Amino acid sequence: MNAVLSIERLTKRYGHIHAIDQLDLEVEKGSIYGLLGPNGSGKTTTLGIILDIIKPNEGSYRWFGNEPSHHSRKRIGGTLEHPIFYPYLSAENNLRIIARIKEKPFDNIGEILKTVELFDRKDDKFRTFSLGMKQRLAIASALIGNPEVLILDEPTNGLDPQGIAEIRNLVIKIANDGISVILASHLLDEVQKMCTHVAVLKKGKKLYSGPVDEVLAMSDTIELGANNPEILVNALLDFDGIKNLHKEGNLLVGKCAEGVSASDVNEFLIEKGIVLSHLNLRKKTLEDQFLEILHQSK
Amino acid sequence: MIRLFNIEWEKLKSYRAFWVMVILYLFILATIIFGLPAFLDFLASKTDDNVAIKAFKLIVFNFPDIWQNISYVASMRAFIKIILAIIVVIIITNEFTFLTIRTNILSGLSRTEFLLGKMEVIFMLSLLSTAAIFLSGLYLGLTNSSVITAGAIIGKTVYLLAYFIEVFTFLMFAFLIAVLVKKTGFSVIILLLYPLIEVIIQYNFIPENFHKYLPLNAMNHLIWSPNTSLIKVKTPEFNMDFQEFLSFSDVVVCLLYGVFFTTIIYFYLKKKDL
Repeated sequence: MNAVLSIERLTKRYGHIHAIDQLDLEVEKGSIYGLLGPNGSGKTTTLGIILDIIKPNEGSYRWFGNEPSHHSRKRIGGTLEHPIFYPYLSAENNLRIIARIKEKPFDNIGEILKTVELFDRKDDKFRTFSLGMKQRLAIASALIGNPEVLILDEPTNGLDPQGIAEIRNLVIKIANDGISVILASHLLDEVQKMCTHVAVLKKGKKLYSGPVDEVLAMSDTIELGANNPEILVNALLDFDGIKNLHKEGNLLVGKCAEGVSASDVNEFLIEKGIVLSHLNLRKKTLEDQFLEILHQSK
Repeated sequence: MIRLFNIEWEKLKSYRAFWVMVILYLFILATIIFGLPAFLDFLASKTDDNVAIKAFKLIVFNFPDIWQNISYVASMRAFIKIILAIIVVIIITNEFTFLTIRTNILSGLSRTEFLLGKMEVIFMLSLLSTAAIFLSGLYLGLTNSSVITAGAIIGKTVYLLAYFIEVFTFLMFAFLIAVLVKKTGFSVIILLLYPLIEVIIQYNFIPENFHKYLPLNAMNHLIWSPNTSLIKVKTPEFNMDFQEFLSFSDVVVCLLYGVFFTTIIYFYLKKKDL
């Protein structure tokens, strides 16, 4: 068992609304796991439950293979939605509270503040911070006590492009040190750039979960062109590796079935004696895939 | 236990508003306690016939009765200790309005530990208040009492314990209101109105035998009157009862309220989303 976190049939209802509905998830050690979904899809509710802020109606979850307790939470660094701190206390003071709760020493607080570039502001009160600084302090708070898992909820919210890039590099660096990361985001680009695994949520239900590479590999779009399109179309009727074949201008566009590569298509056509003037595999972005998954669920 | 207190201490030690209120409380407490003899001196200096006033001053601040009299004044209804209760309300509602209770829990504090940590703060505030009463009582007694023997000084110090229990229970009541209401301003308003509400309930819905079991009455009944060894003589014009000793059942009722408040807070925190 290498699962850091396993969630089983978790359900949370608010009145008639299912914030999350029979959710199963498994996060493996060392992965960067993205929870992807539009606003209101249940990402924060899920994180709230596994951090014991919200009580589920049904289902269960386990941390590190054990029944969850406040002791397991000491091994987790977490942020939830907006950065939450005592506004009237300094940055350092706020981090000391968390270190005390986690029963961890104070010595690396300075180091952590340097990592998120807040060391110069350590004695300033939290309420004087800009949104970007608050976000960075939230990440700093999650890093206290060398956590084994890092939970980040929309970590780049409110940051400028440079800040976003810094956070991304930081997360990837952390993951390279062997820390598992669970990241909730509605930004596809973010998940695609950072995550190794992804679960797509919609209205509290899991639509898809698996390695990011696999989602991206799923049904690539292929573009074909030949001097005589008629012959090409006829030839492709015998080939069942391409679906949804249709014309887009001078080109034929279709979707590759699973396990079909561009060279498979080319090989088939050469056997038929057809020479292509154009062959292109459109690599999907997670965005296309995401929209497609959402679309299919309707 | 020490860890929980350290966590709370970390939250409070550089929280300016907290210290301002604590100092304000101690200042008001001291003003009232020390103001009384000063006021009596002032009255005595204004009148020629000041024997009665001087006698009154002597008996009120006499050991050991001073402990009962001073803790009676400091613990009256929701009078001076309401400031402490407001401090408690602010500390608790802060955790909810700033949502910091969430970061506390998700960082690895259990909900029970959260409750215990806050109870330790309440314990310390009650202790601080009792210590203030003790020190001012000691000073006033030593400067005014006609009897200064170890026995007289120690006698009736049990009223300080009663005072501690009363303040602690009252602050747990404030804790309960704060947890249930969550909004600072609203909690303070309820806390301020509660004594009035209880009186209304008392005279409209509660049989007289049970009046003393209403929360505020029960707390207040621990030390329900001042006493001196001199005002025991009853005349037709002056026919009042004075509390002679602490009633064990009063202490039990008060403690039961403390347990009751704690239990509600405990189950509320256990079950609720934060």
